[in-house]
Amino acid sequence: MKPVDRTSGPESTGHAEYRAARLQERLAAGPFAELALRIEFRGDAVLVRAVAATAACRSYLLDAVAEEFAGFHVHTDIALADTSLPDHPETVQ
Amino acid sequence: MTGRTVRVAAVGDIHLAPDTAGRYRPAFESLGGTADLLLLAGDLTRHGTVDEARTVAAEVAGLPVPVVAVLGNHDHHHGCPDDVVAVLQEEGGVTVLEGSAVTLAVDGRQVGVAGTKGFGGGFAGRCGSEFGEDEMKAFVRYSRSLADGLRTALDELAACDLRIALTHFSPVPDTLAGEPLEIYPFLGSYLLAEAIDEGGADLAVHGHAHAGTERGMTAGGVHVRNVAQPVIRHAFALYELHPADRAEDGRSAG
Repeated sequence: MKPVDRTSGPESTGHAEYRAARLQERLAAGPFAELALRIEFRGDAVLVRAVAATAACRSYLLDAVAEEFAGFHVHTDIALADTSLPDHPETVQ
Repeated sequence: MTGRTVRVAAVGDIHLAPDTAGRYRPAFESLGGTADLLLLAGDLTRHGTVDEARTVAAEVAGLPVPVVAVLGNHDHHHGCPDDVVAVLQEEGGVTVLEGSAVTLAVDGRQVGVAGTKGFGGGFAGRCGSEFGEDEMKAFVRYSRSLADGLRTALDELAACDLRIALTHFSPVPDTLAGEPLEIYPFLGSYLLAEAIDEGGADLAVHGHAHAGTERGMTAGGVHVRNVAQPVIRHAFALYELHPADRAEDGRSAG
């Protein structure tokens, strides 16, 4: 049986899916823990969305995404968490 | 507090660690003018370490309002949830609930909060059951035991003017809208909603679903709010409740 190459990239969607799973496992084991990523496949591109707590966290995430999806066309949308005060309460009734 | 209103501030999934110390403190210090209590809906830390718990404790220590919390799955990751609880209680003055309840006096009324971390399993008609492998049975039994703890805790609050159910995992699928359907069973359990409806509550607050939506409702008509920080996009969400009005106009409190 032919050995599996996990480091470089055939452009099959299946392989991208495994890379997505590995990215999530890698982040879960890393310094910022699981980041509730949304990873979606849009045609031949990969879209990664998340909310990062800090700029350092976002930078770490972008580096990990670039490494795991090396060879793929990647879009990222990583927002920074907004910890401002709410501007109004909700009346629950 | 003004008139009959009870003002509840709530946030979950703040995932604090030493590198983000102080991030919420300025907003939390303002709570004395805007809220009567602060609820923390779990995932207070990234990995559940004692150092991270100390960061959380420092963030809320000495606030002008009582702070009530449940742990989340992240707070269990390092394997020392009891140590996390001890730090939050001793250094932060936080009341940490797990199958338990606390009653707070707010302007002459009794506000009860019952809490559990909760667990997954899915929602009615699309959920796991105690069948098959021991691991699957243990998964569902664990979820059921935490929901049972919430029900018992709510029962203890029967005499309160206002009751709030605080969980990390979601009791309803409504507030998961935006999350992939495939992971709903890992985000919550209908067993929590069943416990809330049977025990009775005026509001249910949870976190965990970062890509979900804020508003939902149990089958029994209890308002549910997902306060995961990426959902509310503020340091906390604020809810005003009017328990006396509900009683006077004859509507059920859940």
